[in-house]
Amino acid sequence: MIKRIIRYFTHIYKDQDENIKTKASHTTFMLLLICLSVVIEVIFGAFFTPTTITDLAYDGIALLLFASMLLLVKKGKIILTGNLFVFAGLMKLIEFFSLTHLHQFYLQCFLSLIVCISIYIKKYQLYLTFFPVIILSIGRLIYVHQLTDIDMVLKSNLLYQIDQATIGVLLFIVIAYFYDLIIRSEISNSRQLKLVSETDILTNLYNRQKFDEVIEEFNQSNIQYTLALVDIDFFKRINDNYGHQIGDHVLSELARLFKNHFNEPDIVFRWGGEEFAIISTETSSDHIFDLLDEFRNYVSEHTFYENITLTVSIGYVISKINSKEPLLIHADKALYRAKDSGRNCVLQEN
Amino acid sequence: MFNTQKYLDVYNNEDLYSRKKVEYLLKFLKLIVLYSIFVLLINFFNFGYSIIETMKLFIWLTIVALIINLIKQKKLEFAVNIFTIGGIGKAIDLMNAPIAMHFYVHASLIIFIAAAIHVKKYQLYSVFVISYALLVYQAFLPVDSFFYQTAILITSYRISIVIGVFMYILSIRYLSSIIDREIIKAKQLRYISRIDTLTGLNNRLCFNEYLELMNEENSYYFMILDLDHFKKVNDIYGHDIGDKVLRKFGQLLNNTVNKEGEVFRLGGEEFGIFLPNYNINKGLRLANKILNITRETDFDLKTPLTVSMGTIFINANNLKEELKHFYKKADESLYSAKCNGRNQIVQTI
Repeated sequence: MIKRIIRYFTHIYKDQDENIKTKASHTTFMLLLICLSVVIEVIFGAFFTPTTITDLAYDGIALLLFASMLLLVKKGKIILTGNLFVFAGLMKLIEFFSLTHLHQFYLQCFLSLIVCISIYIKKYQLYLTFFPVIILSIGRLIYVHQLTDIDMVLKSNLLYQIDQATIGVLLFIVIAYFYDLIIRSEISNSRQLKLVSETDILTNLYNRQKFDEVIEEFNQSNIQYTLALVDIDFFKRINDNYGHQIGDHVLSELARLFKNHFNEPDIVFRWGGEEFAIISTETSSDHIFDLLDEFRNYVSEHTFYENITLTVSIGYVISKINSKEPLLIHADKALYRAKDSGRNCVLQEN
Repeated sequence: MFNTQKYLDVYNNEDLYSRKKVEYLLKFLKLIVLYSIFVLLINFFNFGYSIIETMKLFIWLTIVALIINLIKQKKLEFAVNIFTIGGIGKAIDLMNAPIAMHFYVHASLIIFIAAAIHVKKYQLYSVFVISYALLVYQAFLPVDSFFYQTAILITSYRISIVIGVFMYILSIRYLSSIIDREIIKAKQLRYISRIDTLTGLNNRLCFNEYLELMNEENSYYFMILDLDHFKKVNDIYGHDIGDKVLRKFGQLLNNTVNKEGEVFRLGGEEFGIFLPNYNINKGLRLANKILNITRETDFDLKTPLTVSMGTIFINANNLKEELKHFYKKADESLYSAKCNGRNQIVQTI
């Protein structure tokens, strides 16, 4: 259920880089946690301590601040939110610096560090948390060393405790850095996972799985599109005569030609062994024919690796508006007819 | 400092999860040992030699040695439990001290570390519950009035601890789920880059990896299989049926090989099988079995599906040398099989 709330706020980051997507989720979670803690603190405080209007006002402002940060996240201002977080953490640290908040200071250090490594996107946000924590902790240590108006026994105890606590904070920072490495490795794995699952290794084009996804998306929406299937003529001959390695070479070279000829928003996929698919938003019959025929011509005149030449057959079909009919069968038929009529040609299916 | 690689190697063939947890556990052990020694030295520097503190350090080092031993014996869960108990023991030791800042820091560290090193959920939750109980108990002990001079300050201090530590625990819980996700994603990545998604067989990348990890003590029987006239199947019946045929064939291979070797999908309709420690006779018997079963299985086509194979025996004596050319030779044999009318096996001499 928490996941759904987080997704509600991070919807705008859906197509962005893995790092931003992940950090946005973490930021939302941390904000929700803090809002919760402010609310609980207000309730507890109301029960156990005499609460003045100013106290309630402070808590109210804090709650408003964090709630508006949630809004900022929803609007896409994730880095600004991170900066506000860092700033708020810093303010809290300074507030707890004095010895009247003896123990809370360290708890706040740890909370700031954990929140920071979960949500930071820019390196400076990391430094603006780590360094103040170190400096303020050591500052506290020095401050206690300088104290004079204090009982000697108490001071000795205090010094002992603060020494240990400060070293503990340094250890915490080392461990936090280690957690940061883990989070970063998770993000890098996510990126690679996405890439591997949608990319064909040999040609670096989108693979068949991605094709199925994209076709499904187009079918769900009501956008008109053209589907073209491209098949290399007599590719088996190349594999038989020159071997698989050269065959692979030819395929990746052909993929390059595809990428040069077809630009966004048209998408090229490696659909099968020697078959490719193109999804284009160009739906004018003449334009799409010209585009595809130009490519067919281009390929037929191109000399590949080891002086190999080849031709392609292309079959395409344009979707009808508001029709949910699966186009694959028709494009396949068109391709079949293209092969039948002598190959090296472009045919449309009606 | 200490060479931890050899401990990790024990877990090499284990699942990625245990391997990563051991990695984290060892890192933290190193860190904590250094930390303990450092803390002791600072203590001596400030307050002079203390025999009790030195004894405690030695007890801790003994516990660390025990944990490392358990890791070597693959008793990972037990090792983590000992680590946790050691940490909590130290925390209890630090309780009740005057001022007790050290205790708070230590207890928070235990919670932080538990998120990374726990292998079972109960370990994480028990750390949460026990540490929280100890921290709250400590917070409600009488405090020194020098620091908390009014009742309000004392109460707000206690509330901060009760709520603040609870929030801390929630955020650590969140962090631990991130770590678990990292391990799952790493596993998925390994899997997806090595498996052909259509047939579920190992893919070419996995094949290349297999070649590098081959054992020089074994000899291998290798076969290349290529489905006959597969392009026609796609042309006549369409790609959907073609895909089904490939999947069914993949299953057939897996069932026939039955874990005695590795099956790979090397190309569109091309497959490879490695059989460790099979001699030529045994290998040919299996190849013939595959040939016959393929022909006799109903693939929902009008004509039976047949396969051509090129096979080769790779000797253990000269593994490195033979690995350089075995594929080409098997490919040539496959070519002969195709030229000779298909639906047959050609053994490389």
